[in-house]
Amino acid sequence: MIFQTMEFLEIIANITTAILLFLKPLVTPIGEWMVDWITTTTQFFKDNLGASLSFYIVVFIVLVVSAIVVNIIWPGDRPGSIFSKGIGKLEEFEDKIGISDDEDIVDEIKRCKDCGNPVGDSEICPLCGARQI
Amino acid sequence: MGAVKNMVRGFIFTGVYVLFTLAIPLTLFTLLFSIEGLPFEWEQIDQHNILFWLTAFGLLASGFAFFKYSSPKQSIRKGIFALIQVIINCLYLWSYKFSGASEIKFIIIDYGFFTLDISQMILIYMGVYFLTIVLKIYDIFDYTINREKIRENRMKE
Repeated sequence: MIFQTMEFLEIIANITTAILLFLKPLVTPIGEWMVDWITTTTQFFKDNLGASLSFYIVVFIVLVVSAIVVNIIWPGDRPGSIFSKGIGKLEEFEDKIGISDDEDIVDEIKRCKDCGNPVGDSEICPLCGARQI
Repeated sequence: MGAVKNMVRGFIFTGVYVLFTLAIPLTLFTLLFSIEGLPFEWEQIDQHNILFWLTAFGLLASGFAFFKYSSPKQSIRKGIFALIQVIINCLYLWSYKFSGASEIKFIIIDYGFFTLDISQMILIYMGVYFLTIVLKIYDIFDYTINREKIRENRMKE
């Protein structure tokens, strides 16, 4: 009734109806699909878990506790504590065998003075032929 | 420090969810059911059903909200729980319909009655939720594909 008495509201109602009718072939199947799966799921809850609230309370507590534990282990702004322990062990191992981060095995390779090619123990560079003495 | 920050955020949003999905609806319905002489009545009077399902899905929504909001920004964990959260929200909203809380009959004394049916409004909301589900699925793919980049950026912050 109110839409018929006020012209402005009637125009808006007509535009909205036109849009909805245009989108109907697309929106209706989506709506039906949504209603289908939600009805099935809620029916499952009604049939199997509709007797008491204890299940829902337990799920709520489990979610909160597990989220706290997960956040302690994997907070997101640094590697998780499980991985951090692994990194710590690796550093301990490196300390024991005397490897530091500054030392690089690539830097220790003997290279040709002229071309930079690795020469090993040989006195002449196999690539450019320059003597290494 | 990150873990504490995440959990504080989680608790804040859980509080909001508890307030809006549990406390306010339950208080409102309990009051409506207890006060006598109001000029309206439920189309299907099933107080226990309405209160039970609101509490049940409200608890699930609040629990998943904690997991979602306490997860790091743009993490796969957050993406997955955001999707579950939307699905639970759909169920929560639907619980209003199937428990009979979406149809209210107003009786105007010495005049007549009219029925307020918000089922159609809930159905429109379902359409919005469908789009949200599509968006959340896209987010999961996005977070998975750009996982390394997102993680690097997060570590730098």
